[in-house]
Amino acid sequence: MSRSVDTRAVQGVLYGVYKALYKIAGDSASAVMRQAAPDILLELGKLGVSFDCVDDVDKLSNKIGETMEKTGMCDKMEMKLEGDRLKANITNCAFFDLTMHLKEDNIPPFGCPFAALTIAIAEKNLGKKARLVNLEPTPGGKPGDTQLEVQLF
Amino acid sequence: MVILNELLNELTKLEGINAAVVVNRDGFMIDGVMRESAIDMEYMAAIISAGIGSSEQMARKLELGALNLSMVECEKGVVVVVQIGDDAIMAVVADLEAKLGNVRYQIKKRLSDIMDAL
Repeated sequence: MSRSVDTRAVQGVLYGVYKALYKIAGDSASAVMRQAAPDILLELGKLGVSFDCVDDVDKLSNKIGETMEKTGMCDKMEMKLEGDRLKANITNCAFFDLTMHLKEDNIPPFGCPFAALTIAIAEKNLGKKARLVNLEPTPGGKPGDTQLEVQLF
Repeated sequence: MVILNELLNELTKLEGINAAVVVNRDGFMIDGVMRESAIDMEYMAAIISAGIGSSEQMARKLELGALNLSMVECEKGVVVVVQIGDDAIMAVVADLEAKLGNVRYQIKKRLSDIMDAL
């Protein structure tokens, strides 16, 4: 079984899946995506990525950043908590083209893997509810640089 | 200010109504009152949201305008789902014997109060 996958192919597959999901569930697609969160954590666990040590927002930020960087999903991910908002700066996001492609079709970024993981861990380990409130290219940044904002409540 | 839970409780006291839950678009449970509690409400919240999302898409595709209410009639009961504002959705579960006209009336009568209580 091949171990290397062209991210453009992965983005193409995800584009089709997310678009179909949005066509059927509309603005409720985010509710469907949230149901994927526990399985995403489970599958990452099988790859040896454990989030069990995460019991506060700082550890959440560090662990997600580390995981995303190690798995090549971005070059860097830095998070900070401002009030009830967890804000992340993502450098060279591997899914940037996918997000932009969906945006061109007026499909919100409900399937963002960074947001999905953040939400999954916030809910499982911190007992917080969380939802993606904003995802956009970093103003003045390079293509791939993205700002992510998740609300915790 | 009326508390959301009280409004939902009032609804479930009506004859034939077994549950009234309010969820948000992202599939979070906001509040709910039900006579039987052995239900995974977080999962139900996601299904309620996805259900109304699909109904809205159907209405859009058929060019029927905005969705006011969605109803699912099953072998043992009925689920009435209504949108409350931009982000909330209420689902009411009733017996098949419940007078549906009255269920719909009771829901509509309380919509504004429920919206205020959110």
